[in-house]
Amino acid sequence: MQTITAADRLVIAGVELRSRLFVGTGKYPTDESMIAALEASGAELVTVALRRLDLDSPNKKTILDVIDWKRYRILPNTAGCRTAEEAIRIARLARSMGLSDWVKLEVIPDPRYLFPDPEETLKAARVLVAEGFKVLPYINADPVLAKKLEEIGTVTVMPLGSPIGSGQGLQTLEQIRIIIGEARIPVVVDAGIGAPSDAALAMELGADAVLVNTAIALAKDPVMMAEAIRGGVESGRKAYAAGRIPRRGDASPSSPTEGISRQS
Amino acid sequence: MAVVSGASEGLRAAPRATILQLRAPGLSTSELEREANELVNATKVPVLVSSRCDVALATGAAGVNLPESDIAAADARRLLGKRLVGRSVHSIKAAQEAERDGADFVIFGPVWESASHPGSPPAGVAALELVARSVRIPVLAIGGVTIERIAELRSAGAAGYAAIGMFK
Repeated sequence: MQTITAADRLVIAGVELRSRLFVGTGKYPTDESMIAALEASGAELVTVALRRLDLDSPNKKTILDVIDWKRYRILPNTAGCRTAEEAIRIARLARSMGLSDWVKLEVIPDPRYLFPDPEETLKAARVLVAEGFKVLPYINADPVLAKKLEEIGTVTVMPLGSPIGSGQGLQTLEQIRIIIGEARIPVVVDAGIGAPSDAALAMELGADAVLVNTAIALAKDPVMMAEAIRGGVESGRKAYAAGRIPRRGDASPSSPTEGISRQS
Repeated sequence: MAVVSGASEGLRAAPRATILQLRAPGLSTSELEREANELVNATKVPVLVSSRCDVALATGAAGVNLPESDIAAADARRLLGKRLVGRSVHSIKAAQEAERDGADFVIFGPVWESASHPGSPPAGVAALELVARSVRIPVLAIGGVTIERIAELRSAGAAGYAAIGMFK
């Protein structure tokens, strides 16, 4: 299935991506189910938590060995970092090890709701952008913060729909709508997507991509859910491109009323 | 050059050293990164990380020193650009190879008997002199260096010395 056409390309930091669905690698019951779900999702960009990598044992099997990286593009993330400094340092280490100069920046001090720290995220983004990283920051759906990050040179913004892993869908829909309306860089809705309908809705609003992990990984059938969410993303994007009708308060008959003989 | 095994040891040695080498083969990557990061940020004395180009790059260290069995100096150079690349050597051949590969300096030893490497037979001052004559890049003497022996290693042609015990 062709996800992108010449007229509808997703380009991040100069790289054209074949899918608008980004996926995570956490919480899968087995490596096999993860690999099959990645395949079914059609995703190109796959995010991996740097802190989950065992950087010390080159002979130990990690997620880097399980996934065929010729077919996917790695997006290292800083999940588990609670401060700007931790995130900066682990991103530097990942880059100097040759992993990637892309980084999904997550600075999360709060374990209950896993909300990202806007101040530390902005601080880390400034440093990393200045050092040449391609920064994709995970943020609360705050249009002001999104704009600030765009101004300092992040390559996307990634506002949350609802808390990570909550499957609550787009609780922040109206702010996401504003972020999309204002952004000149790709907007990736990240976190909270629980079902294909949530993904479709984000795409219908005009999001450039969505990132999904838990909804696929913890579904009863991760592979089927990956396919389903892929379909949701593609449908939503097509609907956005096709132009949704405006909502109106009153009805408008589906059948024409003119030129029809009057009933007697 | 003070060879140190951690940040606090490095900070104690820094006032008496012109360069520090962080050598901690027992540490994990993240532990080594933490020590290197702390040391680099706390002292103006240049810091080399033993063997680990990735940690040197990540922490903004001045460069690396490669053990003789490590990757080629040329490969480290490709990763590190203008940062310093040193190599520990135990022979004239290895010293010349390091020079050819673009190393900035070599460390030769053990010249004398060393408390930190008790099993290694010392190569002697004469061998140091031969190595120093065989290359144009600076040769640092290592192994059993004491204050009294500095004049001797200098006259053998060493540009300087590296030591662990002397800086403790």
